[in-house]
Amino acid sequence: MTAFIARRLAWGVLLLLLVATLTFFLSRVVPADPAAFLAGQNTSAATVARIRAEYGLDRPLPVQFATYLGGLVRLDFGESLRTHRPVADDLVQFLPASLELLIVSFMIYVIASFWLAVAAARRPGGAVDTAIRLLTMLATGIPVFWLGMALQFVFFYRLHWLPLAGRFPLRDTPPPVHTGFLLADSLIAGSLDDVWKSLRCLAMPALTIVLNLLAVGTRLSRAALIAEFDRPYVRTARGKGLGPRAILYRHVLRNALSPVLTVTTMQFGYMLSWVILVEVIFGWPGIGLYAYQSFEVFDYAPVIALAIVSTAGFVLINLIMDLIYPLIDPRVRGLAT
Amino acid sequence: MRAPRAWRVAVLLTGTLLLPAGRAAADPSTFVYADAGEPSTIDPAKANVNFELTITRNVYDRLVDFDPSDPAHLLPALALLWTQDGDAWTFKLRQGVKFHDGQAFTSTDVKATLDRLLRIGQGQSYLVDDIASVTVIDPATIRITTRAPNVFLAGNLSRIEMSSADDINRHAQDADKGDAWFGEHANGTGPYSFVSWTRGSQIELRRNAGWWGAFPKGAFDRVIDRFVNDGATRARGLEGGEFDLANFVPRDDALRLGHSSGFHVIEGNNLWAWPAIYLNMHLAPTNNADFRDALVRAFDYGAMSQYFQTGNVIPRGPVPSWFPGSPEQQEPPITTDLAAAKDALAKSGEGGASMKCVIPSGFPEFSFAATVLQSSAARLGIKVSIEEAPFVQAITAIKQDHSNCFVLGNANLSPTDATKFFAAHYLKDGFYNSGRYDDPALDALVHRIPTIADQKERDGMLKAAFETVVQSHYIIWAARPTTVVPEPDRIAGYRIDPAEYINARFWEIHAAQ
Amino acid sequence: MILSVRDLRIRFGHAAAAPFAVDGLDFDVSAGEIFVIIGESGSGKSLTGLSVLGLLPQGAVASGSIRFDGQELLNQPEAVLRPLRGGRIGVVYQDPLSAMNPVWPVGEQIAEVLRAHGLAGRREAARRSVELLERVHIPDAPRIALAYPHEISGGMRQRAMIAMALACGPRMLIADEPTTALDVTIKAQILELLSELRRELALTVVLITHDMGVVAELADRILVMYAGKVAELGPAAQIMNRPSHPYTQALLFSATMSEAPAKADLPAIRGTAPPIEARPAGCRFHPRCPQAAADCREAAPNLRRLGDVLLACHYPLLNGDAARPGCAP
Repeated sequence: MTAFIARRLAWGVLLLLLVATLTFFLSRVVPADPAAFLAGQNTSAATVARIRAEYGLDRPLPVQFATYLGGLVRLDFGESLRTHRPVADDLVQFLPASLELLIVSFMIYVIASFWLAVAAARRPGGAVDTAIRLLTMLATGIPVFWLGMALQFVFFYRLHWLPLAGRFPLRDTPPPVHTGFLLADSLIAGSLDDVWKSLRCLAMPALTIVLNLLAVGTRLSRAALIAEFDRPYVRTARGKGLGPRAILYRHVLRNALSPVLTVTTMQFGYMLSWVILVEVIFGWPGIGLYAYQSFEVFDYAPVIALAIVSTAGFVLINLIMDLIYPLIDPRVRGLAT
Repeated sequence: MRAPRAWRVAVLLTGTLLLPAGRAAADPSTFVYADAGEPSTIDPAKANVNFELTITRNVYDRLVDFDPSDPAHLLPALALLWTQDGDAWTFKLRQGVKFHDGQAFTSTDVKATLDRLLRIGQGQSYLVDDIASVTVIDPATIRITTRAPNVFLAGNLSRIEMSSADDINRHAQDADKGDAWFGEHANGTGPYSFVSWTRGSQIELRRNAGWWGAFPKGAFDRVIDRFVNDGATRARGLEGGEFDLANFVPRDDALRLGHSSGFHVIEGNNLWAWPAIYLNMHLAPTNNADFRDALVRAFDYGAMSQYFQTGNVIPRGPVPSWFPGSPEQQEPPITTDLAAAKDALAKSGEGGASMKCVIPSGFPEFSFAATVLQSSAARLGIKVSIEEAPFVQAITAIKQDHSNCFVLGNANLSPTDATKFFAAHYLKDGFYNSGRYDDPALDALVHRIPTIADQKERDGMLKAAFETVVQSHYIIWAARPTTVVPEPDRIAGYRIDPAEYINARFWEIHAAQ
Repeated sequence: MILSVRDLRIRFGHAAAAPFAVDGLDFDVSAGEIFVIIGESGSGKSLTGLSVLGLLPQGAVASGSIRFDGQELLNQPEAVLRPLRGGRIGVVYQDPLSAMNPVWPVGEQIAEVLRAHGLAGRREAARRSVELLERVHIPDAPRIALAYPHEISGGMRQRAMIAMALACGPRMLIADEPTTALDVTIKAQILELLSELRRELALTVVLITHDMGVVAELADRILVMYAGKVAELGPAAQIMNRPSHPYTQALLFSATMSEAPAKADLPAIRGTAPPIEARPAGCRFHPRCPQAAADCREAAPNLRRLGDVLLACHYPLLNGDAARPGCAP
């Protein structure tokens, strides 16, 4: 098992190196002058040249790359031209916000798509199934920015139920930072009121992400469930005198878990890309918004760092999934080692 | 059988999440300003973009202020009196002023600030880049010497924020390129002090009760500068009451909102041209003066007026009529004249030419102007292709002759001096002189203007410079709309600054009585 | 009569034109006997078995009557059938690997029946599941109880399936092709087990199979099905020794042939059973029947009694031979 994990991690590191190299050189191909951006508008050519030298942007590309890789080993992702801060500091600042949004969305998504899939798979082609299919397709068909704005319109502008944007009501003081996760920090501060405020801020961005993925997730989970319902062991379970509830939860769901898990893992990847868009729409101060704003001004370092961090996230999630499969399905136990 | 129960749970959960928590009773002492972005720096020596200036303008003071409704009228600020004697200006400083950290403000602070500003050479330094030296006479007196006499220096200093010599000395020793501390800390003498910066979200300011100036009744104790990148979101938040005021609300929203109930419109001048189309003086076919003449005359100015709906005038040249000493009213109007345009085109010998425009992305006004140019040129049989690119990329494209035109919005940050604007836009090596207009006579003329003591003579020279630029057909000044700011009725005191593209003077804003 | 089936008809869908997969079946099963239903695939034998406990696949519509101990079972609500399933009637399926849930240990799947019928708590059920495994002669039962289905042999799995069916002490066992996936020796062991259980537990067994060889020494009575109808029904000894229906005879020939390929000159069964939607008019067996005559093509034979045997054939075999001299070879 240890050998398996070690092998997977080694591949992960190799992949990261590849991503770092690729994004570094890709970003340098973009015809923009970061020094000019740093200098700002209405500055003289001399100032731009001075800044170029200060940031080492005048050195040959291989040298810059070597410096960059050397930094990466120490988890130094370089400095952001836009925020004038080390990218690593910025990531520490913004990553928890994104993870919090991602985790909450993912949990809602898993539960919601599972519920819907179960309801739909109960009677394939029935009224409930058709209604669920139509509604989820509708939600997914709406472009994510439009959906986000529509939610803002309804829940903020019309009903005044939820805040427009951001992680915390803007007039209020958030709890002291311990973890960077507002929900956790609110709990540490012992303030249920702050938990509540954070949740209300989370509601619309999370809903936007979930609604956009729901159709695919529900459809795939539904297919997995229907396939399981047709398996002979389900007939056996009925023949044993089990009720529909026991058949669903003890038998079908347990078996459908592996395919559903596979689907959900893939969805997690999509979710990462939606997070960027949703963060921009809802002014959610996470790495998505950070990377987007950096990208807009050709600030390379944060963009590369985000690519590396999200790749690392992928590697990690896939590893975790590989470790979870044997727990769910005894048939693949022992295969991993 | 079981699903309905699950549904009930789901509905209940969602329902409680949405329960109206009672609209958070808006804290009457807090003012929330929806700004157009997050500052890259709040260093007054580097701040450049209006959402950076929002912070520096309110945290730091300047030596001199001006009256936004009469920019030629300078007002005392950190300096009480100032006199010019040839190339030397002497400023008598206000006594008893303290920085937010409690240190007293003296002439050494002015010297340290200006020295640092000129060393760095970024931000607003171009407004005072002719300063030769700064001399401390006594704690309350400072002498500033310019390379040549400059009548505009005092006015231009109204844009230069004073930081503390103590901070500069302390932090310039750092190995962080000398200035990183100023990027995220602020210690000024201004009406508001810097409290905190929540990265990605907002900056909080607190009213400086010990400020030397007077606050209006109902001034806000706490200001939150919220970063909201998307204009439509700023508009929606303003409309929904989440924000008390917003920077740069898209014009459609601003007009609609300003005329809806609970809001009123603040309208004023601060734009010199919005947008202005710069033509490349070195790349065919726009290197041909008659060809440029044809484009200027063919351009459909009416379409731009329609686009802006209200408050738009067609510029007659580079300097707006409301600017002190502007010759614009005496100049002939620029109008669409297709026949004249065709004559000019025929004279140019460039009939049937095609050209490429790389314009900065993200500004609907720019895209629209480019489209109008495209359709206007099409009527002359000229093909214009349009590309959008980020600002730096777009300006690089035209400077490197990959593009025939470029679009820009023009404003001038000096309340009285047009020459810095000319230097940046029309003189050799000017940053915004993207089409590389190069006329040594104009350079000499513009550089001489500040040295002339007599205002009439200066005005005459500005008129000559104005006409030179117009006659070169370097620029198509597509429109000059007024700036429209929707202000909620519960707020009062916002004034449009004629020497800034949208800026909030928090110390003048207050709750409506 | 522990089980009596009357005019059982099963088809897929409600459309009037939909053909019946099981087409008017009548039979009775006496307590304590081993009753074998035999037929090729598509004969409707498995559907018949499944219909007893309402386990028909989705879309199947059944009519008629199935009474167990006098209680009507056909088209009864789940609440009526559920206590019977695994309770008074146990079911054993073919291919125990797929018929068992791959993610639960074998013992747990047996214990589940006891718990579902409220016969034991968690711990008691686990203990009893080991006993049940021992009852079906599984060696090292405590260890096997903790194993997953894929970890034990096919024969072991089928024994475990039987243990599962026996868990609640049923009066009747429906075994649907219980030996199909097994090799010959294991097959014999399983059949021996069934016979032993019948003997010792006074169990009624309904055994569904396509394999005459399986039933030879086990069956008390045999129902031969062809294309959804009864071909022949009667005491095992008589049907095995003196089949009256040409189809039964053909089945017997096939069985002996597969065991003794040397006798290849014996007439084997021709062709394949017709698909349900393309059944011929008249006697459904006639296209494959060596004795078929003109009236076989026109009129379906009625079920009639011939000694101890019920038979549906215009020209039954007498003493294993054709009834019609003209057709004799």
